[in-house]
Amino acid sequence: MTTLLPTTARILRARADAEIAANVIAPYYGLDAAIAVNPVLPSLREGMPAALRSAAPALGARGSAGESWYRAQLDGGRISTAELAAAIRAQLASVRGAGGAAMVADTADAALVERFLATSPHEALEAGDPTAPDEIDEQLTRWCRAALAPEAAAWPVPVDELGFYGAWRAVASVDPRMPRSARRRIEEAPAAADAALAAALEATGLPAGDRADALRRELARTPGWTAYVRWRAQTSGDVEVVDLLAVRLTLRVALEMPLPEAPTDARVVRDALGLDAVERALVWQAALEARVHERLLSRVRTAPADETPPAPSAHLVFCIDVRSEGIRRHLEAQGPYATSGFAGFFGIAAEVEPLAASAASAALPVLLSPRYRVSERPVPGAWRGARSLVDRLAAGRAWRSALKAPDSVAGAPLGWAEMTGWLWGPVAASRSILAGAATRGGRADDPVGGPATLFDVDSALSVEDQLATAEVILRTMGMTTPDAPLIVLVGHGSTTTNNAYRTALDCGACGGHRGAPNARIAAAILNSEAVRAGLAARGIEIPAETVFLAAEHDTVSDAITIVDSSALPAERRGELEALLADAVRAAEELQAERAAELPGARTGAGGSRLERRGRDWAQVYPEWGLARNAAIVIGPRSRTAGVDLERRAFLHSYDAEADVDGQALETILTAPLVVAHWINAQYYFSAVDPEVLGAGSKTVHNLVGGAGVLTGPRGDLRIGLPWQSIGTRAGLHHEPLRLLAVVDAPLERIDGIIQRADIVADLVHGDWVVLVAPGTEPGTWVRRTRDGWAPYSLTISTSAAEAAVNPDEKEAA
Amino acid sequence: MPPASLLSLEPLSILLLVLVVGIALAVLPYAHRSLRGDRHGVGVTVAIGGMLAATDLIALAAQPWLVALAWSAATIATLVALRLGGGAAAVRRAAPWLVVGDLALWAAVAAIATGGRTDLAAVLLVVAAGIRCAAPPAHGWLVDSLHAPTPVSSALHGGIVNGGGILLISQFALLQQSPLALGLLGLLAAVAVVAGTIGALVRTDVKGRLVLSTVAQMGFMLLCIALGLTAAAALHLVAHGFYKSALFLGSSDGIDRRAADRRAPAVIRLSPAGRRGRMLVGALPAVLALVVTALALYPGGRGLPEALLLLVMAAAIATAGYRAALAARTLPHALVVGALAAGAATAFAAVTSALTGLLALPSFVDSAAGGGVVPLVLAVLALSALAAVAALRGLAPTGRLALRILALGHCLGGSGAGRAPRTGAARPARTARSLDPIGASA
Repeated sequence: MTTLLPTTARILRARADAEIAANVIAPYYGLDAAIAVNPVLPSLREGMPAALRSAAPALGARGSAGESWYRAQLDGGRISTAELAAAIRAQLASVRGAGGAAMVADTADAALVERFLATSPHEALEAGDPTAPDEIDEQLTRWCRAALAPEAAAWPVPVDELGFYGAWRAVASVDPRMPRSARRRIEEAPAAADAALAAALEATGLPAGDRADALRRELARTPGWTAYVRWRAQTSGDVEVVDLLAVRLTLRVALEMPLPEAPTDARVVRDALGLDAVERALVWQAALEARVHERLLSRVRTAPADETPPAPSAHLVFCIDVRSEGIRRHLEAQGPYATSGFAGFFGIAAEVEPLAASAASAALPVLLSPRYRVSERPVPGAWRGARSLVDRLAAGRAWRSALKAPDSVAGAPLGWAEMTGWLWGPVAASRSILAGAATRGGRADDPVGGPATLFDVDSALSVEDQLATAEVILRTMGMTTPDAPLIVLVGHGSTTTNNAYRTALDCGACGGHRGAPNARIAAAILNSEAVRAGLAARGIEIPAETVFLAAEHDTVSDAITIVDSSALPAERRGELEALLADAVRAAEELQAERAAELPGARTGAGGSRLERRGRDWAQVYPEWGLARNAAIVIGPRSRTAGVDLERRAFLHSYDAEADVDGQALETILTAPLVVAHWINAQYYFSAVDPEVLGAGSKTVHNLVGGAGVLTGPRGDLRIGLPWQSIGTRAGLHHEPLRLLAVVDAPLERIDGIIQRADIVADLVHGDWVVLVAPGTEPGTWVRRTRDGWAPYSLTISTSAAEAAVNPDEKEAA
Repeated sequence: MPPASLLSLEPLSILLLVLVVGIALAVLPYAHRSLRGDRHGVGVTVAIGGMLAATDLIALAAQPWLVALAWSAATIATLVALRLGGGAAAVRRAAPWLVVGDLALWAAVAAIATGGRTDLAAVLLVVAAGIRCAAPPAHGWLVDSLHAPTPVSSALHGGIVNGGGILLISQFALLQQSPLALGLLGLLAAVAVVAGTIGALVRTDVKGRLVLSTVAQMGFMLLCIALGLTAAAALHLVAHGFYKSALFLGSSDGIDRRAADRRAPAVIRLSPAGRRGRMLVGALPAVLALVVTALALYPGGRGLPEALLLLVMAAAIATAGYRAALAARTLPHALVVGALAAGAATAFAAVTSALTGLLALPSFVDSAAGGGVVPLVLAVLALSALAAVAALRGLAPTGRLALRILALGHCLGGSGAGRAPRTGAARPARTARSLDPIGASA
């Protein structure tokens, strides 16, 4: 029938099918500014069980760890019989209602677990029949490699002139390795991608209703490149999923390789308790999570601590990142310091342009779009330093340009290797032997010793906008009455070398960049006299002696560096010196704590010198990043101060009493909570299926421009995190756990936000996060599910939770 | 047999010793640390040690049978490193090719031992060397070796592939008696130079580019041998070994370099005349310095082979010089660049001339007759082809011929369809997961 439709309609139809099919996977952001994302984000609304059932298998991945791994956790004591039994009972109750719970109410825990384990363990949620990559996949991935990172080749394929599909058509139709008939068909295919897709779809003879599904299966054969094309379509827009599908389907038609049949639905196998594979996985998952939830919740206070802390001498605001928990804990132990947690971009939704840089970077969460561009400028009188910086940067570029000479002229590398090889030898040997000792810190793009600069906020933002920004920052942070004379906004970044995944260790809230610029801009706004006058009119009184400073926490070395102290009067330098001295002690203690977990790190007295690891070009474990993340606590620091959350919790400060209209909480639940879930989901999926949803070992990675990595010489683009972010030779370091969200707010307020904000409802109702709030009795918690609030029972005693979990293996390696 | 005749400590073997020790110092500590997360990390590190030790023995061995023994030891260590580090996909093409190379070498040793049959022995040596140097059609094994971890590649490209060059240089006395072998060598080398160069130009993945560039470099080195420029081949082999092994070890820094380029100030647009001026300023002094120094100091002959060698070196320094000059911020900066390049060219030519004299390697006995005209013609053809490719890129980058070359370049290294493990939706099996403890037989 469709053949009778006018051409435009057929093309629109093909486009629509392609758009639907594209939802098989979330966009992948590449590595220039890596962003954590839930790989099955398009299926968020259907919920986690549905994702395990269909979205992950559609990619050939599995959405949960294998049965054998869970059983090993049970055998190893990581999951107890009681925890597993409780999870089974809960699952039966939720699947079969009250009847299901009653069915096993009389059964003892041990007997119940025995019945659960009796069923032969078939690998849960395994992908369907694994089929080898065919000629189509091979040619498509080769073309993606060539055409999606053309800037990385000295002689690129002509995508700039002809587009992704057009360039493929031009090259493939003269490719001597193609059969002659295929070349002719490719040459005769329509010139526009969407028309080619429509034509190829028609040639397959597929009924219109089945097309979107068939295209979906096609895209799922190369999830990595599909995900990357989706991101490119959203950002630069120079390539779309339609282009990818047009190449794929035209190739199928040209090579006369028909679309594979749709797989038949597998028979659902149920175990002795009537649970299918997905339900079993959810049982195991809940049992695995129980102890960590118990352990963390037993430490978080449900009510404020009794004694009020002394007035702080400084207040430091950190990113919500789990790595901030450690430095905050150790810093608070050093002296009268208050800390709070806030998204590390400090509310500055800006494009940041470093001094003399050729490109600006969007330093803000990907959920937002930049609203202004702020440029870094030398302070008046520093022009001499600025010029020398520009000269140095240009000289560096000239040097790199010369080193890349082999790229530009055919034949030039032949002699170039011989001329420069004599220099490379000693350089390589010394880098390997010194392992980061005796080399200068800093990354290639962070020039050291630049002039004093400022961010030109006034050119970017009117005073009104600055005022509005300042008010949002302070109210969301709950800092309407600043309590310390010194307030330090601490961004974070990671200093590593020879690390393709370096931006995955930077601040996600700053769009995968270092956090210092945002902290500096926020501090500049909050120090402005005009802004402060305006704030006072809006009921936020900032004492005149209160000074905002900007700093950066390096997550490899844990060093805190003040990046902008221009607002601090010279006579008050002493306060800052005292703070920095305490920060050094805090960093040393935290380094010792972290060194115990890092493979190959020296532990013991005398400092662990972790910053050396960041400068070692052979180091694949410069830091653990956000591994082992398990929870987000949204509430005042008084709930968590003084307790050890083991760098496993995102901490967002929130004061329910100050936030009467619930505006701040809505912001937190719709942005930072979502981001925390994305990160949590990325780690979860990378850990449960490191082959498809993770990126595999760093040591075999092969960078393709800024797009990402391949494993070895060819194949699909790798998404997710590398193995060295989640595990060691001994096994997983990151436990795949769903995010526990602890929200210290009135239940009605949380309910209201869940009703208003779909994204929060999706996370909570879809079981992507476990959202709990303090119960009416001290020490109790209530959990919100789609059925409403219910007591969140903690199955084991606190002391057992304290004692039991420490799967932290110190890696000998 | 007394040990003195087993090993030799000539200038060449000392130079090669420096290479292998230097590579070992760079690669072994790197492997130890970077393979900490890989399951067979320790085994791979040990195998890399074996690869380098065997290469060392090839360089020092004075007897053909000992060379062959060391060569086979290197093959075994390489295959072990590839298999442990990269699984079956890494050895599927490497094993047959390398074994064929070994057989050719042992056959050559046997032919030498039995005396006579110079042509046969020489051709067998060329076959063994061509495979080791990944000259097409044997380049696929080196491409597939990318399935193994970075330090294995580093040791391969810095050590193992040089075996071919070392073998032919040490057996040059035999080789030069066979015009047939020299012609074959020239052909293999010329194809390798052209194919490798095109492949490296078009690839976008960093390691693929490095592999194909090695194919071209090894081709150039073999071409030097075919032309009788054995000292140039030896120096090229050593310098390239350092160069390529370092580039592999640093191959994950692409994101850093992209960030550094974004951080650098925008390049100032130049008028066409300004561009030409800059290029001249950057390239000309270096080329002049190179040519003058080489003419004054180079101890070898002054024939066409040497001229071709000089041309290749001049192209390299000129390219580097003009690129740096274009990227310089001001004309004075560009002048400084030109002066630096000239200084570097002078130093390079002087050091190379000195080393060539020190090495004192044999060339053709009768340099006038040379190895015949065939290698020379092939060398000229190869270099002309490179020039033609460069011109084509500039003149008709989307023309039919250019597109055809692009397509060919992207196909180099083979497909591996249905053979290599893949990480897509339909990858073969979970048995391929070498690291994952989840789902592994726990």
